[in-house]
Amino acid sequence: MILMTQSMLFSLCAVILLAIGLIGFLLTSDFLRKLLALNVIGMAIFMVLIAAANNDPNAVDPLPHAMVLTGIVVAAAGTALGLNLASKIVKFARSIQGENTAIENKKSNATQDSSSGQTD
Amino acid sequence: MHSSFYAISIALLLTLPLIAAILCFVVNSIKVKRYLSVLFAIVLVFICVAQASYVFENDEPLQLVVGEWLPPLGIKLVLDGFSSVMLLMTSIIGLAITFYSTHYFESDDKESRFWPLWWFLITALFGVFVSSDIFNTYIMLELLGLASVSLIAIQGTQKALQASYQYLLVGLLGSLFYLLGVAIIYRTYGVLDNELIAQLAQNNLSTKLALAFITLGMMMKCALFPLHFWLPEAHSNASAPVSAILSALVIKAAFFILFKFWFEILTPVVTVFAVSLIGCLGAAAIIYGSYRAFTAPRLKLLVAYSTVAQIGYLFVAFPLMIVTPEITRTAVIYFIVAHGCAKAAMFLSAGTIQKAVGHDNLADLKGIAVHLPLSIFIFAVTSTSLIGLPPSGGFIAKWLMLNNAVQAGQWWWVVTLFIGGLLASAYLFRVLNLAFTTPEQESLLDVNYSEKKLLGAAGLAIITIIIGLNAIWLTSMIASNA
Repeated sequence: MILMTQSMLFSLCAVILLAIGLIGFLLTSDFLRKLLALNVIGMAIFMVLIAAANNDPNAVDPLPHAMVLTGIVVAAAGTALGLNLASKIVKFARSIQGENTAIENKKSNATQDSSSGQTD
Repeated sequence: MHSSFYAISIALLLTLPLIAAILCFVVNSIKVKRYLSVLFAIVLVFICVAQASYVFENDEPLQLVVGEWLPPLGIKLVLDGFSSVMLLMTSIIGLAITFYSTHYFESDDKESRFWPLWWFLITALFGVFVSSDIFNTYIMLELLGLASVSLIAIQGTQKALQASYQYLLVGLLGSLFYLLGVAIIYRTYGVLDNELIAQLAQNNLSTKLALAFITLGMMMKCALFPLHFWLPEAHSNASAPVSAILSALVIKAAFFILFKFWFEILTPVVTVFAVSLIGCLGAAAIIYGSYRAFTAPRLKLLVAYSTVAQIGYLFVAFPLMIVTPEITRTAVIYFIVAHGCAKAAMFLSAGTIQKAVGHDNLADLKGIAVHLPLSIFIFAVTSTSLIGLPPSGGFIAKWLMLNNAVQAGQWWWVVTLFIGGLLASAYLFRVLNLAFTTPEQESLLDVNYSEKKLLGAAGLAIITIIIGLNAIWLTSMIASNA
């Protein structure tokens, strides 16, 4: 009975996490937040797997744990690649912005507000 | 004894490309990397030919139980008719692109990053096609996604980086949906092996949910119509060899998985309404993709949108699968091979044009047929296959599909197929028309570009015609086995 509720608790958490992650992924335009939202979705799915390990109240199934471990490795690799790409994109955007401001400075010799760090 | 020898050779499909990847990563000299890659690609073609001929001759799938741990505990690798065709196609297209890439990159830096990732991609593709375990498939799918994203990113331009980031997000979300489907299946049935699930599968709510999540995830990876938004940018901004393999094979890997789930693993939950819905999305993809290809301002963007359209045909086959499964299956396999060879060759020739001219803006490509005859020739030959003109492989594939649609009494798919063919000829003749017109002012194009690396692409273009000419033999072979 206790194990049953445990499994259900995990499932409930999974559904809530999945909703949070999906909403975060679909409604934000910030690309780092999207990556974080994907990680939250990943956690939700790991919760489903952990709940699956508790299906049989007499024995804990080890296979889902192995799957979660593998999943975590993959998620870490994906996130690392994403962060690397994101930092490259930001660098690119900054350098282009820098060039643009330099050109504008030459052209007008006027002061302008520097919008640093605003990247999209 | 004999069959066990072949079964063990399945392991080579995963280990050889992986060894190639590691060697390409470790070795310093670019030349050694090139020779190694060509060597490994040739060996893999021989292995795939041997395996395919064994599978088709003996009419039985090859199986390798890894470490002799039988399912449900262990993982099984299976090579049936469908997957051996996919492997053969992968190895041949892989060889052609490998050959092309040895002359493609202008900087050594880029090329030295390309080779290890390239071989990781091939490993993952082979892995998807031989895996017979839904979780193992997930791992291969993720490897495939990460390798593809990195390959787009090595192009290094801002557009390529942004496209690869978008592709990464979509790809990760897609494979997470797939994993959710896998988790639900495991929770319901307690097994991960394809065959065991197929035996246990029942029509219940959780299985439906699992299939829905897997379909959504794979639709993202296949770029089926409403979820295609990432593909044109990703495929058109990558370097030519990368675009070629992404369009020809990587998308097909996701389709391969989806097809297996619908018609081999979770068949009990497939309903007429569901397949019709998928078919409608496919039809919409054909029309929309063709329209966007027709209005595309750049050559590679045009070819990329053409992929969106051509993927639609594969999904139009879904509603026909329920009525006439065997012939439709043959048609789908035929279409995958024909489109794979044609699209790879087309992207390679588009890449050569882009390299030679320095850009790929269609408006400025007038009269290039004079300067780059081989590229335009390859483009024209592969166009016949994409449009579906005889005697190409594309014609046979579309003909089989038309026949099925008529037999099934679903004439509306016939109309879609005809409109698709017309639109394809419209956007492809647009390119050929430009290539053969004489420019008004004296050409600004100063093209002295060697086309000898296009030999591999020319080989692929010839294959699209050969599979059209040998259709009866090939279809009967596929039909008897798959």
